[in-house]
Amino acid sequence: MSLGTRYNGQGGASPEDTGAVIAVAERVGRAIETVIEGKPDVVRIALTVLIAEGHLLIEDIPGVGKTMLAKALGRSVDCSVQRVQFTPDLLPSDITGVSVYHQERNEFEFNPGPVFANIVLGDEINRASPKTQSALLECMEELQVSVDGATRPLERPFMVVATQNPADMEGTYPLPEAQRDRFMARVSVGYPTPQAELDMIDTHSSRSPLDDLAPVAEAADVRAMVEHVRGIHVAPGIRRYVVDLVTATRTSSALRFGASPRATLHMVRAARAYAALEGRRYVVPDDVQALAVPVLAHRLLPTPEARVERRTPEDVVSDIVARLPIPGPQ
Amino acid sequence: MRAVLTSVTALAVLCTLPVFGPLVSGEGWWVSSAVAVLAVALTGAAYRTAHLTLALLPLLQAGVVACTLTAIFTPGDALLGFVPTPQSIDTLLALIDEGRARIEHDPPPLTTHAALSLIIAIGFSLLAIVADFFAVTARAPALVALPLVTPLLVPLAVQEQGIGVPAFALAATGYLVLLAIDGWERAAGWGGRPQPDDSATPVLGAVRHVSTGAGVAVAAIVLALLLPLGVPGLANTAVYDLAGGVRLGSETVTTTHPMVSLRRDLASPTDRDVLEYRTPQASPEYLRMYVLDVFDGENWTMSPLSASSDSRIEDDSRLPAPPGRADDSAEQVSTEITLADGGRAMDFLPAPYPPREIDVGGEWFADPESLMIFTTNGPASGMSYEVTSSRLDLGPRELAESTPGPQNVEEHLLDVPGSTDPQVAELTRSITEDAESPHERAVALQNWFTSGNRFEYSLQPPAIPAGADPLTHFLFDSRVGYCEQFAAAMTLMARQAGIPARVAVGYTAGERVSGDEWVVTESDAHAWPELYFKGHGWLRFEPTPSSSDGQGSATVPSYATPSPEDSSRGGSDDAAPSPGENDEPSSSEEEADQEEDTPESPADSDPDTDGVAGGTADEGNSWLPALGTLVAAALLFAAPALARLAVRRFRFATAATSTGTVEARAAWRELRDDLLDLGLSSDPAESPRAIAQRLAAEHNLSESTRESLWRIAMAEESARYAPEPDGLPGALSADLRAVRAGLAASFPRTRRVRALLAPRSLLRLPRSAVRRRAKTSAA
Repeated sequence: MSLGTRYNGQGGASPEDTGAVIAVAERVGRAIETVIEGKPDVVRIALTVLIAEGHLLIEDIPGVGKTMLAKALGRSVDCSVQRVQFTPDLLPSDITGVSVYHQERNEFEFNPGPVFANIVLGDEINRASPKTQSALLECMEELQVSVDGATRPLERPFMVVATQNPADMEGTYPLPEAQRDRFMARVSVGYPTPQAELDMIDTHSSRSPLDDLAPVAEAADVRAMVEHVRGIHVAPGIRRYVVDLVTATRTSSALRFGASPRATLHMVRAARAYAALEGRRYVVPDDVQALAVPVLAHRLLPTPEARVERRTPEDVVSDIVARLPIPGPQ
Repeated sequence: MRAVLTSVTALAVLCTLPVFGPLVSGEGWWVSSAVAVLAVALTGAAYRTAHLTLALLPLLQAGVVACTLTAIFTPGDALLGFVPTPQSIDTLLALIDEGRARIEHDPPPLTTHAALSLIIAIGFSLLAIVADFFAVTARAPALVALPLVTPLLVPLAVQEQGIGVPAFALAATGYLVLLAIDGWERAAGWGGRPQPDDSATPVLGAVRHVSTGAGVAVAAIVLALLLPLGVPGLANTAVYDLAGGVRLGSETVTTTHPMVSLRRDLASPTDRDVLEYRTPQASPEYLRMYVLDVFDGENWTMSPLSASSDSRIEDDSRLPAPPGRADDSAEQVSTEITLADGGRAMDFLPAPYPPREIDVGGEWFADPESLMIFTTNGPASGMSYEVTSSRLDLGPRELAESTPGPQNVEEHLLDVPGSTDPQVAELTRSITEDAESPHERAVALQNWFTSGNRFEYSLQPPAIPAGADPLTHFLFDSRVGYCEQFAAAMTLMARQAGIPARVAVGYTAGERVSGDEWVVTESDAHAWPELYFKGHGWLRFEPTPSSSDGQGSATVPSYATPSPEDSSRGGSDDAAPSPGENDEPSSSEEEADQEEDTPESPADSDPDTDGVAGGTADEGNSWLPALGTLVAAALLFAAPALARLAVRRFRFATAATSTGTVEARAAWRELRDDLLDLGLSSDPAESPRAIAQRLAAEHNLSESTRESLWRIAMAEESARYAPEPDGLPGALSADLRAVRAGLAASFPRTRRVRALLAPRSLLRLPRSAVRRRAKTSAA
């Protein structure tokens, strides 16, 4: 990235717009990076999902900063943030909200649940029962809540950041593939580098950096960015490339199930957002390549043979990306 | 593992043994060969288990073979029954000599004899040793084809039917089994059969592997057949010529070499009837079958024949006009010929020259140049046909008077190979010195052979010492031979004297049995020279001694009979150089002399200078073709670089004169090709910006070069993916130059030179093909 990515995309349809978007995105990105150090790629994916109107699944072992990332994201944007700690006894109504009888007014009044926020942090989502999980997932898909026959729209932007702990399996209900498909991307935070860990000791030991994190953007900024993302050009060759990529996951002998058509849509949206974050007004294959693993891998199921060979879906997607020819000139 | 390969190699060699079956009559001749081959294999297997140096193995095997053969053939003379002693070696050598004599004198099939078995066993042991070395020691079993093909050539050379299908199939199977076993062992060495791509199903993968293999095989066969036709030098080689093969579009004509059939006929102890015919003539013409017009320095062979629709003999039985004959008013003579039942089958019909019409059943062809009549449907026997030919009543006087007429013979009929001994040219010059016309020269040559120059006719000429030129040996040393040697020598000398000439093979007129009936037997087989004269066409001459001391039924044609003056000249020819004297004038000054005063350069024999001067004239102006070859080679060498340069020029011109997409495309393609030329791999999954980043990181480019590179990549990216490409700075050709220079600087000189002279980008697949391939492999 040393070769100034800033060069590209000049002379587009609305350079001021582009500049503003980059400025906002950079501010948010820097803010998050003060908390999650040494993970620019993860932060970038999170931002991409935010402005692509998707939902993010953070899957990793405990203690690497899953919740920290989610919180930092929520805090750096000045918008409503709700946090739900998923536990086995959590009920669907604890998420969506519940109608309670108002004695004075002699009517039922709807008490909105935590889902009525711009950013919803679902912590350890796999600890809740499938019933509760699906209540959240329905909101994610439809951007509305139906309680007692009334349909209430959710706020915009709306983003669910769910964390999941793959190592701790006791008493958990891991998300089924169909549910995972609703998340636009999955990231793993991973262990920090030794240097980042050293810095962390210095900064985090005294107080949490989250406390210092002030919002750097407003919900309106995010909505503007979302609007901008919709105008990013996707060349026909790139669309074909995405379809080729998804098709390749379906025909691969190492995978039981390939990616769904929803994955294709997610991929195009994410690529647009990624290009916008780079300050470009069109998508290039590199965007798709960078997003292939986060957007596709969590939806794929390896065959038993691949499992035996310890080939993860991530490996398979990387292989496909490394071999699939990029779209040439039209 | 090695033992398996060793035994399979021995098996492959043994599988070629049956091709000798038709050549040897009798039982048991193969046993000693089989034992010797097995001895070689056992020695090899045992020696290899000892893990000693493999260089000595062939010697050891040869020693074991010597002991084995000694034990089989002369156990009595040997120490302990198998250790060779001087005595036993003498016995074996005597046996070999006897075998050689039998092979030389008896026509195949030869009767079984210990001498024969010994020679075959020696041959096969040598093959087995070589094959064992190739297959097991050198581990290159494909090369075993060389030793395996050797025994197959023997029946091909002497046997009319060639190799039988079963024998060939067996030999080929042995070879293929060897290859298969080797391939299997190699694959096993890698730990199991290679799996097809993980993406493809196993069945599809297998089909793809097989179809790829089959495609390669088909392409190889087609190339092997077609390439020699396209290369002029190769198409004229003996491979295609000996068979008289016809190529590209018409059928192939193959026949036994005429000289081999001639020898077999003459050597036949039975002297069977070949044909009988009726003719009104008192002294009929010879019956000609073959014309051999190409001399390669050792053998006379046929030019390729064409069995096409043009040369087919149609229903009206007319044949093409005899070349070179001015007046067509000659008397027509009809000859009814019946081939003997059970006699030799013919695919070339004997006919008197020049045949004008032929009434024959079946599909026959006539070569317009030589008027040979042949078929491609396999030899015929027992059939009858009627030939009408022109009768030529020429006296020496008519022939001597040069008749005006077309001189349109092909140049190669005057060709004398450069390898011909210069003594022969000197001899020709001295014989024809006094002759003024081509006719006189021809007669002088003919008479030099027949009149008292100690030439002796014998069907068993003495063996030619190893390394000696057969022609020189015949003319100067032995002077013993039969029609083949006489005809070949005179034809060549006639060419040297500037007369187009060729060797004809067929039968003499034979013997009159009663009235107008004549019989031709195997001993009437004959070869004679045909010489070309303006206005008269091809006329036969007879240098072979006739009567009881020579070819019994040979006759000298009337036009070549010496007239009184001629015979006096013939007498003077008696004083022609004897072999002893002949050695002396071959000094270089004499040769120079010869060039200067070339007495026979009359205007009427213009194309002959080539033939007389031989190789010396060629050397004079040989720098011209050499220079041409050099220039052509240089051009060929530089061709890839020039082609690449042309492509580059075109792209630079495009980039300089256009903007936007077109410019970006041209610049990017040029960059990709430069990378390819430098040997940098290109990955179809890499985007322009990824390539630019990688190059910048890997090749330590300067900052300005990086920027140029980045501009080119970005222009390409925008041209490909942007909604409307940016009007980027139009200086991409300058950027391109900078990147080229920057990249080249980071490579060693050898790499740069290779990129210049052998640009790989010229071999690049079309983009669509790359995409297709990469997509299937990614899927």
